[in-house]
Amino acid sequence: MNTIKFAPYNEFVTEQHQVERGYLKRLEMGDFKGKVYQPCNLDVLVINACQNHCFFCIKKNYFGDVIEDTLLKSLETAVTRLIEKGITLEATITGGEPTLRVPRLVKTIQLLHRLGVKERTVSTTGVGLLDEYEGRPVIQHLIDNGYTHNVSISVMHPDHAINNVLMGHPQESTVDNLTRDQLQRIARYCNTYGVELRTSTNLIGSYRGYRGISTLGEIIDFVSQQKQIGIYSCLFRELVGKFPGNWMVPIKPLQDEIAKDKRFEYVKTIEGMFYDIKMYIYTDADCKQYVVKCYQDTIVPVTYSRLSFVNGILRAGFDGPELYNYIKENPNDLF
Amino acid sequence: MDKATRRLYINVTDRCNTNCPFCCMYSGTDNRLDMTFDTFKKIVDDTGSEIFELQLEGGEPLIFPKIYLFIEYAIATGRCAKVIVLTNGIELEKNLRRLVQIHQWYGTEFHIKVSVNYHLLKVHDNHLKTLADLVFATELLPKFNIELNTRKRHNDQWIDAEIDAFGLSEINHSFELQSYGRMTGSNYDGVKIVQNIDSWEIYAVDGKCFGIDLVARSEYEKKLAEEANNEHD
Repeated sequence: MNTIKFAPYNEFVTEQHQVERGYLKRLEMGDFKGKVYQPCNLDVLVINACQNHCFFCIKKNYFGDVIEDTLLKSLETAVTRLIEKGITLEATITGGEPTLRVPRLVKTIQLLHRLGVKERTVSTTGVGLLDEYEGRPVIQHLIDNGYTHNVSISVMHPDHAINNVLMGHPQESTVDNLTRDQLQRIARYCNTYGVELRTSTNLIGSYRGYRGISTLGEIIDFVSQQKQIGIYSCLFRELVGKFPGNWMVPIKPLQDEIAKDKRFEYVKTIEGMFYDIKMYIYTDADCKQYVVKCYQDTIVPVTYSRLSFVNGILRAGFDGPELYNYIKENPNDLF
Repeated sequence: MDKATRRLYINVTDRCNTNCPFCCMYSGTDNRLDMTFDTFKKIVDDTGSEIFELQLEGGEPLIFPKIYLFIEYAIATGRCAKVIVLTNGIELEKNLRRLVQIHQWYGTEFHIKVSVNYHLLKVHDNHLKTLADLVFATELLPKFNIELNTRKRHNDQWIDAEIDAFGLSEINHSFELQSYGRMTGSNYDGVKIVQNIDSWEIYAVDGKCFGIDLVARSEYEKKLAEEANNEHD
């Protein structure tokens, strides 16, 4: 995905998912014969429901959920088979909004932890992270099961009301998105235990009368505001999909602007298999230093950088070919 | 480790990041005295083979650059049962990760005693909100406790109400100001000692021991600070 990422200066490496060190591995599973990137990211959709209806959600075509027992059994089978085939997995926990069904979320991360899958990211709007489950906040369950590398919270705009519009949050919904105070409490929790908390923001031009973050100045302002509440990693992403022109904000011109801006000191370019990264150092007005990474997709032959697991079905990519369908093999487990 | 029977109250710096008008240690932003490591080491080493608790105070210990050297040295003796940090809390958020790391690494019990008073609430934005978040972040750590020590003027009952509003009443200890330090001669009561340990002694920033005489140490700190400022001028 084409992105711009601000990260604390001490995180100079290119993520846990290091593009320069990966390689392709042949995978045959069911009718599927193809190549996947190693280490392979496995997106685990804990639940399809969400309190928002974001127009840009890349998983909006999924409906319904298998019951919890089926989810866990099928996930265990799929992961075990992949490991048997020599695939190294890193898990991204996502949804829908995974914290809307806390027991499923906690049991899922416990299962993946037990199976030895490397934890990578929990992608969430953060709404349930402070809720208590089995005597501890959900965020603590993530820490207990190794999700210290990062928790990624979707925020489209620092203004709560505008954020709700951009995320398609229905006014009648009983679950609201996080307030700034709640986000700060989560940040303080994460900072106490060394969890990288980052915000993830889609660049949006104009939508329903509101503008999202769309200029370099707004990006820098947003980073500065997040710093005030203890968040030092901010990721900005180009929308994926086809939308009206005024909704979209192409990221390449912003990356070119960074390249010309004297506040950004160029460091190096890393050429990866799926994307190239241009790296800069940015120093803000308070002398806080960030590493800024500009990701640009490269054109590659048909290979898969990630697998996804939805409702008992393992796929290459989000909508790619089916690798394994637990429900077909175990129809009696569904009810 | 057996229970400690002795507690060392050590003033590691007279520098502070705020100027509370009632400070009993005459600390402030213009002060400049720090304890040396050799002085601290001698105090700790002189406890021999005794198990002890360590209370680090100031001034503001969390702006003292050698605070972690002092803590790690005390823990490294294998005889430090508890580390207590007496702080105004302004720098606690920045330091919490490191304090928790030391606690988790060594298993040493930590108590963070955070001062609350009308002056801090006036000059430091969102003090109680910050503290509430930090308490929330650490409340599952069984031997890492944050508690509040509130010092009130006669008409400061509103502070208790604010503390209650942030859900912090259970960890709050509320007292009136005392008539020593900058409040010497005021209409508040004199020093009241509430103690839960058999043996304790207090040390000034230069390492001088005052037994349990809080007032004598306070006046001595005033003298040291004045001398240091005169030298500087």
